[in-house]
Amino acid sequence: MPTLAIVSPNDRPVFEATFPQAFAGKHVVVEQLVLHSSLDMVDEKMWDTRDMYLRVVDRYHDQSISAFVTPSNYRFLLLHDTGEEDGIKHFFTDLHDLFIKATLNPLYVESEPIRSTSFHDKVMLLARKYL
Amino acid sequence: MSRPSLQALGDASFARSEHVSAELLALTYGSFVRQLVQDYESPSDVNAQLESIGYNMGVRLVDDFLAKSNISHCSSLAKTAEVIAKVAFKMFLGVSATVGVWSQDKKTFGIVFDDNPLAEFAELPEECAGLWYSNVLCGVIRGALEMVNMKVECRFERCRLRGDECNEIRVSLHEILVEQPPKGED
Repeated sequence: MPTLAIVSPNDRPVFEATFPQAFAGKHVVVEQLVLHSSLDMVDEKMWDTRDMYLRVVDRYHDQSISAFVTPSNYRFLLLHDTGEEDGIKHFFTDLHDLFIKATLNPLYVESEPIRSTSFHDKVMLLARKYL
Repeated sequence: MSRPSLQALGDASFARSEHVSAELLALTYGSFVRQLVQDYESPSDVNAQLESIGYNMGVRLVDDFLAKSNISHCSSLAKTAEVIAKVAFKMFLGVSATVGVWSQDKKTFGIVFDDNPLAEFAELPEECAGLWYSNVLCGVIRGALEMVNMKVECRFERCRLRGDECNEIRVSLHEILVEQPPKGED
């Protein structure tokens, strides 16, 4: 079950989701820990490429963590099964578009959690499409 | 003047005037509303502030509107409504509105519009549930009509940010002000 986390430039979690949603709540603590511990790897790897998509940055048992860094230094982290990397690039690119729309909302405060339900629903749709 | 020609007049006034980028407008207005939300505690206070800011804009804007649009005297409230919806909205916001349902006594009408450039990126968080995001428009209409001797009250009835299918501002006429000579002169 893939788990997504969006982390702000000052390392605050902005958005978290587990796909499919039915699994939300189980083991989430471990996954959060694993995801956030990969932030150091992201900081290292982002200098090796010109792309925003960093591919797999870290592994944890049989799972991998893929990352995407926006120009404003928000980090998207996705924990997923190793070997299922196909849709992830598209997932991140589309997620970036959604994220830009969500953060353009004047009533959204930077680095605060995104609580918009429409953003949440659209991310779920994306996950169903690509993951 | 017939209906299509008002539309054309609106389009022409819009084409003639200077334009700014929609993003610039939406983000400027947005950060302005956000500041008000931070400064005032309740959304209803923010609504009132936006309305009074709009009023001050409307009082000035109506002169500009009359000068640039070549609108002649409006003979009835119905005509006024059409002019606001078709010409004024197009000229200043770049969107056309339509006149919605009239009340029984013909003193209240709605201005209905789909796209709202002010609220382009906005989404209301829960704590702002009572906020009428574009309430400044109500103030503008009130201020502008007051300068042409019509005392009206405006309020938002429907707003897309709240999940309605369109935006609607209800305008109700209270009285037509009669011009009076200044006191103390014969």
